Parts: sequence; C-alpha cells; structure tokens
Amino acid sequence: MNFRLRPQEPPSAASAAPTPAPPKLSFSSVTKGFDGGRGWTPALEDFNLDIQEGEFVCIVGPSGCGKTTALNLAAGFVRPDSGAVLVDGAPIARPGPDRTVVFQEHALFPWLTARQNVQLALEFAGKKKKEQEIVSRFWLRLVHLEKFQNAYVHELSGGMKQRVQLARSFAINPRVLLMDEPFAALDALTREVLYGEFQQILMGTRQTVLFITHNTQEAAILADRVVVMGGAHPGTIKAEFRVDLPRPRSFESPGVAEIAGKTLALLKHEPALLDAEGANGESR
Amino acid sequence: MASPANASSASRSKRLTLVQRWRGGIVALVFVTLLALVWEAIVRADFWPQYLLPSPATVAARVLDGLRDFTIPRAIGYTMRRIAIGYGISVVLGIALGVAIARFHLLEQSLGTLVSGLQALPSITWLPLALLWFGLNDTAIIFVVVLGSLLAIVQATRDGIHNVPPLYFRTARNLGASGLAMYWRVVLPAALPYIITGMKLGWSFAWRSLMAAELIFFTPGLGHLLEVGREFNDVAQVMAVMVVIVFLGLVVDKAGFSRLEQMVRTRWGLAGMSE
Ligand SMILES: Nc1ncnc2c1ncn2[C@@H]1O[C@H](COP(=O)(O)OP(=O)(O)OP(=O)(O)O)[C@@H](O)[C@H]1O
Ligand SMILES: [Mg+2]
Repeated sequence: MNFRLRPQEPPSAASAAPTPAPPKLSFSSVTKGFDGGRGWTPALEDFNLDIQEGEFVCIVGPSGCGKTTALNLAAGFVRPDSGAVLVDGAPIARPGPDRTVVFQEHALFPWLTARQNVQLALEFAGKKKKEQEIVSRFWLRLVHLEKFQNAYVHELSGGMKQRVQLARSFAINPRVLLMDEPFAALDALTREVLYGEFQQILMGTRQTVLFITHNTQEAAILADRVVVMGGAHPGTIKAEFRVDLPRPRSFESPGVAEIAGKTLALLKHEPALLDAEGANGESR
Repeated sequence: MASPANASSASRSKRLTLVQRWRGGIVALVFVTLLALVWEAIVRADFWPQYLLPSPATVAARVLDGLRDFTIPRAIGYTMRRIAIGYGISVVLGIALGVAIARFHLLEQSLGTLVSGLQALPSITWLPLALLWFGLNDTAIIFVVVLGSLLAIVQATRDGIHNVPPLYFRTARNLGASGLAMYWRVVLPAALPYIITGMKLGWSFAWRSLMAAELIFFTPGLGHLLEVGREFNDVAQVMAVMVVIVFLGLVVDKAGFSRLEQMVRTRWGLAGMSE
C-alpha cells in the first residue's frame, strides 16, 4: 500500500549521499514573465533549482519575488517561457496529482465532509471505493481528525482545514508536495502544533517538498535546505544553505532561532552578515 | 487541537434559526387573521353586494366543500401532473443547456444570446404557437410550462458555473480530475447554490404559466376550476380556488425551495455572518 510509513532515518541522509538519479524536481534556467501594463515583465529569469528525493526545500522571499510563480510552474498551472521544469527528469506538461498543491486556504470543497474531500482525490486517482475509505481514514487519523471525519468544511477551524488538505495531499502519495504558504493564515499556537504533526509524517514518509513561506522561523523549523530569494521583475536566488538540525524541531529547538535570524539577515541583504555566513553557507 | 466549542455554537445557532422560523410563522398567521378580519369588516359594511364580495367564511366553506366533493383534489392532481412533467423537463434540460453554454464558447455566443433575448418574452405568448403546433391538449400546456421556466434555469446554471471560484478548478485539475468527473464532482456542486436559486425562480414561472394556460384551455385543472367559477358568476368559487393556488405556491416555496436554499447556503459557507 502506498501509505505505509517507511522506517525513520535522518532526513538529510539521502540528499547527502551522492545519487546518480535525476533530481526529483528541477528548474533548469527557467524564465517566466507576464504581460502587464508596461508590456512583458519577467517574474523569474534564468531560475535554477534542483530538489533531491526526500528533500524539504523552503523558498523564502519578499512579496512579489516570484515564489508563487515558481510553484505554479512546478504544479503545471503555468508553462515556462523558456527553460524547463522537470519532475524525475521529465518535463511537466499539465497539472497532475503527482505534484499535489497545498493551498493557503479555501481549497477544500465545502459540499463534502472532511473524509469525502480526501476520498474525492483518491476517486480521481482511480482508486476503488473500499480503498478510498481505508486510505482516507488512515490519513485523517494521522492528522488527528478522526473525530471530525464527517464534519463539513464550514464546521472546521482554519487549522483543521489545513490538516484535511495535508491528509488529502499525502493520501495520493505525490512525487513532490508543493505548498504555498499553507500555514500563513493560522495563529502561532496552531502553527506550532501543525509543525509537529507535519514533521512526524515527513519523518515517516520522506516526502519531497517544495515549501513557500514568508516566515523565517517556519523555514528554520521545517527545511532541510533554505533558498532565499530577493528582488522582483525578475526575482532571483540570493542565497541557499542547508539546515542540519535534528528533527522534530520546534520554535524552541536549539539552532532554530539562529537559522531564522540568518535567513532574516539574508532577506534584508545585510552585507556584513552575508560575508560572515558566506563561509559555511552557499551564498551566491 | 480540535475545539468542541465549534460544534456546540453551530448547534446553538441552528436552534436559534428554528425559533426565528417559528416566529416568522406566527407573525404570518396573525397577519392573515387580521387581513381576514378587515375583509369581513368590509363585507359587513355592505359596500358591495355579497355575490361580488363574499365573506372570508363563505370562501373558506367553499374550499372545504371543494375538498369534500373532491373537485379541488382532482384539479390539483391534474395540475400537479402537468407541472411535474413540464418542470421536470425544464430542470433536466435547463441544467444540461446551462452547462453546455458555459462550457463551449461558440454556444455562449449563439445560444447564450438567444436565451437572454427570449427571456423578454412572457411565457404565455408561446401559447398561440403551442396551439398551432400541438393542438388543444396537454402537450401544448406542458410546452408553455417548459418555455416559461427553462430559460431561468439555463441562465442560473450558466451564471453559477461562471462564478465557480477559480481555485476549485485549480484544485480539481491538480488532483487529476478530468472532463466529466470534473463537471460532475466539482463544477456542478460548486454551482449548486445558483442552480437552486434558478430552480426556485423557474418554479414560480412554471406555476404562473401553467395557471394562465389552464385558464384558457378547456381541460381539467385548477385554472379550469377558476374559469368554471367565472362562467357561473360564482365569485366564492373563484376566490376559493385562488386561495388554494396561493397556498400550494407557498407550501412548495417555503417547505421546498427556501429550506433547500438555506441548507445549501450554510453548507457552502455562503450564509450571512450578520446573525
Ligand atoms: N497572472 C499574472 N499576471 C500578471 N502578473 C503576474 C501574474 N502572476 C504573477 N505576476 C507577477 O509576477 C511577480 C511575481 O508574482 P508571485 O505571485 O510569484 O510573487 P510571490 O513571491 O508569490 O509574492 P507573495 O509573497 O506576495 O505571494 C509579481 O510582480 C506579479 O505581479
Ligand atoms: Mg505568493
């Protein structure tokens, strides 16, 4: 069964080992722009990023730097103007369940219950009724929603809705999970609980994730690798570095505050800090 | 974590609306009683002769008579059969056409424009055509009923689909929904609040068209009962039948559509937050 949890191992092990396989998700000199009031403006230009199997990559960047554009390219919602976006080495042609997106909000179908929402995704994937039910129950239990399986969306809190989205995404076992600020609309306490649950699942599944956020603490808690973007029209990758802290992490875990501070400094583009961190990070 | 406060506040608000619904019913009842009293007062004042303006008691007695000798139930039976067929065709055809128009650009520009244009025609203006095409029979009546209600349902379905949040399309495509599954499982349910509003509007159009058509055709039904009352100069019967027509319309609207609409709006997260 596709939902069985794999044995736990340190998340960074796979990506650290030299693997000949192509990256799970790869942006290869991607340019994407939009026709706006002032003619064509690039959102991303010559954008390069490889995400390895089992890796959790966080893109952090200011508003308008092209984070969502990158995610939409990976999801197949938009096509690159030039360059290529590859999943397992194959170019992406259209949206598909192998690259499931967790949206910021309002992405559940309100005429369905929590479980029916998960089941519908499995139905689209061609699973039999019985399997739909077993798999959706399993994942809803894992996100601690077994008591709310039959609740309609309007009866769920914001945090519960995002849990259902998580359950739905994991249930169809995508190659890459794409997440665009999925926790941004939640309060800090709910977020902290979700970070814990989410990491537990990740440690079991070793799911490959591309995660977008404004929040540097969130990046420090969740990421194996942080990619800091900056600028706009086009946005560019300013720096990236690995986060090798033990999991599960929380706000209080040693090292998290430092990583968050470093990310913030990179975001703010403080040259002094950039130089200081340049030695052990991979600043560009 | 999951807070049970959510669930309990939801059920409390449900109880609250139940009380409000009851209050609405009581207000309506008091109002109708007052109206009957005013009516009675006017009758007693002898402005008009009794055979032109019978008292509410006389009309009520006529309704009871009609129920007892079965003329009213039988008429209701004929009328309901026609509206069930006509309205049923309208709903199925209307939703199908609405989906097709929303889906295909060419249809939007051709059929879509035609639908908007034809809505300007009061449905009873189809009657002469129906007579010429089908003759003096039920088919002609049902034709008028269908044309009376179809366009409202087509339009509402099309509008509903146009107003489906783009994020639902995105999510569905992202989850791998294609073609038919996308429409059946996502687009139509998402458009349902609009479709129900269209069906409600369509129902009232169908009801009016049917009454108009039955008045003109010599065929059993509530409209015909009205016409019989007129022929015999029997104002009490005319009024009794009118009361029955109003009552049936109210029951279908309040017990059927309004409840359905409310349930769907709540579940779809569209209910007003103002309470
Ligand atoms: N559909 C579109 N049409 C026109 N311009 C667009 C479109 N989508 C994005 N852009 C432009 O591309 C740039 C990058 O947008 P994008 O949504 O990727 O930013 P972002 O980094 O996700 O920002 P935020 O953090 O605010 O979500 C912006 O300047 C935006 O104006
Ligand atoms: Mg964005």
